[in-house]
Amino acid sequence: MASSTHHPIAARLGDAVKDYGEGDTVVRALDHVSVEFRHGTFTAVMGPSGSGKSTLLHCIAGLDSLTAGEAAIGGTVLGELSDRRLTELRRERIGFVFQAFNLLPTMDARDNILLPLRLAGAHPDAAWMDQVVATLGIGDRLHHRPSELSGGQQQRVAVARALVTRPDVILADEPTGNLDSTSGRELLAFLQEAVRELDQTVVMVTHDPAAATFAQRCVFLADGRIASDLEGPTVDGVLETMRALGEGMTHAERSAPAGGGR
Amino acid sequence: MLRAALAGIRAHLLRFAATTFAVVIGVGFVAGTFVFTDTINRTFDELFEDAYAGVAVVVQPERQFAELSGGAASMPETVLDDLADIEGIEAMRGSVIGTATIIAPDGTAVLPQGPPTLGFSWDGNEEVGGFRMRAGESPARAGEVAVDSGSSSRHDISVGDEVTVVFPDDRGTFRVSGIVEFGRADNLGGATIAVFTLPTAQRYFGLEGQLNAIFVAARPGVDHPQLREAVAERLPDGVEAVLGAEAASDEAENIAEFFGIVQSVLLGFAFVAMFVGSFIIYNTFAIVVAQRIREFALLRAIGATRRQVGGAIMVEATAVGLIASALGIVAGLGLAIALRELIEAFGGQLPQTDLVLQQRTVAVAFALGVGVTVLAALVPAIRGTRVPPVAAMRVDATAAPSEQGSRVRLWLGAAAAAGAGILAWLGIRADSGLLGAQLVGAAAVAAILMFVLVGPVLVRVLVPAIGLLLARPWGVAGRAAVANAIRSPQRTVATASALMIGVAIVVLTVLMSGSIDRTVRAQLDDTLRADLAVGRFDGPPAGFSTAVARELAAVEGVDRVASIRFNQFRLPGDDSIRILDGIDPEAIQGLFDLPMVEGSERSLRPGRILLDRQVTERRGLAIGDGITLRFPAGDEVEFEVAGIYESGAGLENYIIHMQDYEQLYSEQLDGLVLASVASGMDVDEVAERAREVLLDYPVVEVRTQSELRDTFLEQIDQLLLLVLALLLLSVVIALLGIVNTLGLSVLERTREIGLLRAVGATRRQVAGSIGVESVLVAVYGSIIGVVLGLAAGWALVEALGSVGFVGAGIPRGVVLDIPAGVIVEVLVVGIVAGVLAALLPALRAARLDVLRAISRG
Ligand SMILES: Nc1ncnc2c1ncn2[C@@H]1O[C@H](COP(=O)(O)OP(=O)(O)O)[C@@H](O)[C@H]1O
Ligand SMILES: [Mg+2]
Repeated sequence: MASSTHHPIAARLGDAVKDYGEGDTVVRALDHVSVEFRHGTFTAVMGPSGSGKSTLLHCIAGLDSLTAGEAAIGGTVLGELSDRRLTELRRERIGFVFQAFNLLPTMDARDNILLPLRLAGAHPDAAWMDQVVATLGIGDRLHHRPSELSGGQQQRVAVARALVTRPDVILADEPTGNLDSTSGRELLAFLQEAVRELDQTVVMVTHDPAAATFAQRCVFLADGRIASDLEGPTVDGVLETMRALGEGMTHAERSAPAGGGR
Repeated sequence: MLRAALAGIRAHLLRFAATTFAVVIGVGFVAGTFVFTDTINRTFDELFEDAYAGVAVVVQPERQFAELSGGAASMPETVLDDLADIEGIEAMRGSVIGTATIIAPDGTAVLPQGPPTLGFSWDGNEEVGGFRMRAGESPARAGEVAVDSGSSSRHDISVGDEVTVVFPDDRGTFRVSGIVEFGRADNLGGATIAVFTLPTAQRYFGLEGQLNAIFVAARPGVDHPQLREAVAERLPDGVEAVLGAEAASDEAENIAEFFGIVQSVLLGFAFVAMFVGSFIIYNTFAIVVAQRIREFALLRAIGATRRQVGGAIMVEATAVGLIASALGIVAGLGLAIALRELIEAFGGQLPQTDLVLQQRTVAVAFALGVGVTVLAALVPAIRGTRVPPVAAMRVDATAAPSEQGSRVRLWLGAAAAAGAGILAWLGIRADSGLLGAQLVGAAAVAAILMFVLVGPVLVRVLVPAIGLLLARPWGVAGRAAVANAIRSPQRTVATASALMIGVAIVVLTVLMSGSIDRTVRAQLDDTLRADLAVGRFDGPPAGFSTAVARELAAVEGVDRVASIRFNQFRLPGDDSIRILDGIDPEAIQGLFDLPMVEGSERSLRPGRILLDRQVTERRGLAIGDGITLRFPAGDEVEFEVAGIYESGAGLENYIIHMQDYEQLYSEQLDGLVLASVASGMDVDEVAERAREVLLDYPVVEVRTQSELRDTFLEQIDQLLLLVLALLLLSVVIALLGIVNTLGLSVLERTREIGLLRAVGATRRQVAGSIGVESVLVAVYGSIIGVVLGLAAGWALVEALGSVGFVGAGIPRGVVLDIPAGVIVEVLVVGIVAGVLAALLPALRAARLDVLRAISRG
């Protein structure tokens, strides 16, 4: 997978610093982080709770602004963009999958998937839509409302929505956090397929070592710094890195029971 | 649990703002009305107590109620001599009273709108009679007058000025010797005062040798009731002696009576505002409960009983009701002050007294405010108790309230619809106007209920339809708006219902007044034949000097002249004020055609009466039957029914012969003078000449036939405007309800809106979506309101068309006049209002911090 270095950079943080609060109570959520995510790759971001994983995703997406350093999607540096441009960029070049509550309850699955396109006033590419829907196996669920879908199906619809605009990067924050292990594994397989078959880019936060093994690369965060950067992670490799990182891992281990099976 | 409830209010303070506002408006109206009328009553009580402070006994011709202009019966001056040697009398003052209009030095007449213009005699004794000098001297000579300080300051009249005073049958020029006040007030409850020496007043009022009243002051230590007895023994028949204190309260009551009408009108608006407001209160609690399902579930999970959860919600409702009622009382005090200012602005000066806040007012305010709030919160509270504890574990537990029981709602809705139909049908067939109006009113309430009950179904059909028209251009934001508007239909219905009621009442009012307008116009066309009319058109109908008719008759080109006089009377055993007209049936021929249905107006002779068909039908009277009327002096007179007519616009429902009128009332003022122009003469030229001749009578105006018609219609329109202004308040309350519901929905959908923004919705799209949702709700409410208002108006016109309803100013034969323009306006206003109502919530949603929104649990 090292061959991915020749791919263009899809998303990037350069010497990024993110502080929350002021004065004595300042919390440094990102501490001079530099990281690149190349096109067509699947990266997992791991680290103890509070290590800055969500912050990293938010800053890459322009949902939150950096205190110092820069964030870029493709060649576009986010810091200089107006709110409107940022919104458009999110709409067209970033896909989101959250841990829960990904879908609008008033719309059926299909409308939820097409939402970003409709917001932009763009027409869906029917062939791409079919491909995405087929890949995620939700073809027979398109006219169901979120309340009529299982958790796993809802997350797959969310992934489909993230894919539908062919974004530069899909950012997923613990997408399997609310799923049982079977549905979780299924979803991870779909994400993997999206990268392999559909040539998409995924950055996924997780604290489940098993989930991380679906990725081609695993970036470890600790106290807002990149602590380790593992290519082709395995469960053992991940666990070992976590152990080596000290304290934080005990927590991570406890909260990742699914990881033991692998 | 109490703590939980109070914490609940504190946490949701903003959410209760609209609820509080709705209660404050309703309670404010009620409290303000009571405070205002109590204050007025107290003011006049004090004023006359003060004026009669030195008066032990008042001697006056027996009288049961006042004449319209304030005119009073008289007794011979010699009564004074009969009383002269009674021991215990310190002083006596004979007095006359009548109509006297002051013309200021600049030539304008001093005319209050409504209250009369009064003239009194006075000897300058401040102890007996209520007047006090504020400047100058009391009148001592024939050519002197003292005027009230209200007129003085308003028309810049000062001591030494020359003024003209117009009496019913005379006029004169006087030097202003001084400025008087009445008690502590500038004038007599708005009435102007001109004070003369007794002989002067007697001469100008045509009361030589006569008195209207004698004020008796007692020596110190003399018992007043005993003195009254002694005085009464010496009095001739038809003259009575009453205690000064009693006379004071009688006079106060007479003046305060007028304000009773204001009270019932304002209470009516208070009721409408409160009714509309109750929907908002209901909705607020329903939404707050829905949003806190997880909280209630948690409480239940850790051991709270259903009762406790329900109790906590009811405690919140009670607290909100208490706070709002207290604020409402404060608002009521403000309203009372505003009403006083308003009356002063119209020339009715009221003495400044402290506002009267009676315990009764406070009790009613709190009972109403808390009662309505608690009642409206009841259903939401019950819903709150039904939250299962497991809901705490669900992530998406802010779900809309279940649409369970919608089948029951539909059945109830069908029942309400049937009820509305039956009531309307009965109302249309009722033969009494009052009963018909009441039945149609009940039908309207049933129809409101029906719309509320079937609303959730209606919303799901109508809102997408409206959306096809209005939401389309907004693309996905518009589609989201439609989806949001129908996602909890009950909420949309409650929000829209408040607007529906407001709009329905506005449409009904416009429709009725348009119909009345049209009918009155037609009736005037049928009945009014006179070329010219002379009267006072500056305010409510009021009398003027009979000299006007004489002068008019002498104008070149005027052919025939007829006067119409009016005054009040009562029916035996019934204290409501009724109006009676005196006409000369011969003179009025060709000037005013009474729409007779039976008999002829020519058969009206002394001792006979013409009645409106409504009166004869209600009382089961036929031609030749007798009817007894009660007059101010207390005499009851029986009249024989000579003819029956259809109530039109010009005359009221009891008409007697002018000769009887002159006998029954002490003061003779004309209410309207009609004239025809000799054939071949130009009406406008004659009118111009009449105007010149009547320049000496600035109280009256000359109108041609078409001008008179316009005057009548204008008066109807002005009344309509006032009513609409007050009704708009309930529409404003309804709009605040939309703001409130939307605001709460935005709060509720924080996460959703965050998600939308995260996946690329611009601020404008989010705000637009909320705006469209608001417009959808507003237009839905407006459409239903228009439908309801039109239906109610149609039923009312059908119900009253054949019988009329004089009490409400609705003539028989009223014809439906659908205000198409107004309907379009209402819908446009609905759209604009929807946009306005969405401003704040939309702004709030657009400003939402995306990150915070999506990371919130
Ligand atoms: N809005 C915020 N205000 C203040 N501190 C924050 C905020 N968001 C995150 N943090 C802090 O930043 C650090 C990183 O948080 P986060 O990125 O959410 O961690 P992770 O997702 O790895 O659990 C934590 O110490 C957290 O408390
Ligand atoms: Mg996180």
